[in-house]
Amino acid sequence: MCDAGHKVYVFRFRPSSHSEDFTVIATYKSVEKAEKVERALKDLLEDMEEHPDDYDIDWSPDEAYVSLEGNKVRFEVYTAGYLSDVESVIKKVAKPETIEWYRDYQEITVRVRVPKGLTVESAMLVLDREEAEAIKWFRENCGEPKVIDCGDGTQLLEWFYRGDGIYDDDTLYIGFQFYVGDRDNWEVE
Amino acid sequence: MSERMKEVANLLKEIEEMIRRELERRMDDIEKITSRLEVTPEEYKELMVAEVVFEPGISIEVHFILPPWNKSPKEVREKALKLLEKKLKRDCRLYLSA
Repeated sequence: MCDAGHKVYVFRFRPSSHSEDFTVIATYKSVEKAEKVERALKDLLEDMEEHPDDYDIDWSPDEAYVSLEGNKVRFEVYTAGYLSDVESVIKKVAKPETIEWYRDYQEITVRVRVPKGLTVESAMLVLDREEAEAIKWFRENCGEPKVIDCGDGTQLLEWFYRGDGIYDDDTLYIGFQFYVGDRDNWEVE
Repeated sequence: MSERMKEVANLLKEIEEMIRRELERRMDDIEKITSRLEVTPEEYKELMVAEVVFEPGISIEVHFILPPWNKSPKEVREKALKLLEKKLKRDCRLYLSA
């Protein structure tokens, strides 16, 4: 859509027909830059309150949440994707190293109990097919698990996951629906 | 690309060029704004072009120039200019009033 010679900027989200909890995490080179962006986002929310007609959004500024964690700024709101003003501030006030966008953002720890001393590959062989598929998914998406010796002849394989929502009502949505509610050796928190 | 989609793409391209021209005329404001930001005036202009085009008022409405809606392209262009004006005012308030 842009002529050659113009750098193409793409705004990440086009509005859709249904709303979700959106989380944007922008990482900057320094804490100072992140603080500047956090302040600017708070100013933006105030400006939205004062000049509602100047914004095309489907959310109320008082329902949005801005926070700072080191050199990361996090913005959360329930929307169908009306985030261009937010993205504008995130990209203009300071240049982000990365911007991560999540729908129904979750941070969860997943643990599976297996016999002590087994490699992850062997554990996948002794568990049932769904469990093996789940372990495969976590290895591919979160890396190798932390192995915790329980001291009772078992060990826990533990992954920390952060990203789009995958867990709801005792079920992991990881390419298939994996119900862990009735599996004593699985734990999600 | 179908003829219908070509029409939409051409209008989007036209709107982008129109926004760039308008921003060129507002370089004084843009230089003041970007002096408070980390982006260059050129980067600011291109971010603003993307922001206007991706707003639902434009990105969705641009398709309404096709049948059965047959909305006038002029109407969409005018809407884009109004949107740009709002966004420039927003940035002046956010970055120049402090």
